[in-house]
Amino acid sequence: MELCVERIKSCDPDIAIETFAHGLSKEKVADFVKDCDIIIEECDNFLVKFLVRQEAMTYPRPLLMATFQNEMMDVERYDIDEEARPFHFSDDIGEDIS
Amino acid sequence: MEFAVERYKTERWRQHREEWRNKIHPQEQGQVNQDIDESDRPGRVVFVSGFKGRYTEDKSSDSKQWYFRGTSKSLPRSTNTHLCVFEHDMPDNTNSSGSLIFEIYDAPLTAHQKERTKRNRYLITEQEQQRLLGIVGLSTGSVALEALLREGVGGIYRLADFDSFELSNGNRMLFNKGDVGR
Repeated sequence: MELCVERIKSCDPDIAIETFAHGLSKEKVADFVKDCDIIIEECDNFLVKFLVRQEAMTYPRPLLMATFQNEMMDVERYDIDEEARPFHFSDDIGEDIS
Repeated sequence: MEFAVERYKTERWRQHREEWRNKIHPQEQGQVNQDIDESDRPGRVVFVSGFKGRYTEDKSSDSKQWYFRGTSKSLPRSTNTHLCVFEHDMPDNTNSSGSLIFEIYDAPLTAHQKERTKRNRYLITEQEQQRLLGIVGLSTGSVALEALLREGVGGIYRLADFDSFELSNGNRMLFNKGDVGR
């Protein structure tokens, strides 16, 4: 955290930074997501991953996640797609596979 | 910004401001009037008491405007914004506190930001350079941050992480041995 803040300040001192230094808890997720324009989610805790998506769906905000497998980029556009669900969940997926 | 100043000058806007003032009641320190409707943007009028921040007077323009840059927990959206301040009871210096009535705008890019992102012109718009980016998790997130930072995307960064840097994070982060534990 400290390092990233330092990095931003050295690169562009005009950028405003807000920090959630203790990570995200259940209560803080909404505060975090509420007025973000884009959320980049790179967290390794599944519960937080899900909570962030849930709030992103509520407000609704676009969410990006990069994964290491097959260099895949996960784009979840809750802001333009009302049908979008966390992790692209869909009821149809069983049929697609079969 | 010019639009806002124009509107401020008009009689109708003065009335609007009076209405706002009637809506605003004395509040607790640092609290924001929550009656304010998000749909009023751009040019949301907000009242904050117990405000602490850095603000400067724009001496180049005729109309009395005060600009604020930075973040404050007491703002509804702590933005890299211009606040067109109508009323204030703060003494004339750069670091002080008091109460304000202001209108919020996205801050225009500074000369440094403009120069730094000169090669991005027409590729990354000015609006995109003022966005609020939230990054959850700063291990691989810090690499995304680095890329976005260099490109000049985003004027406000909101970061969340509880961990400090460890040597084993070195495979995916841009920091060195000397940064361990920070």
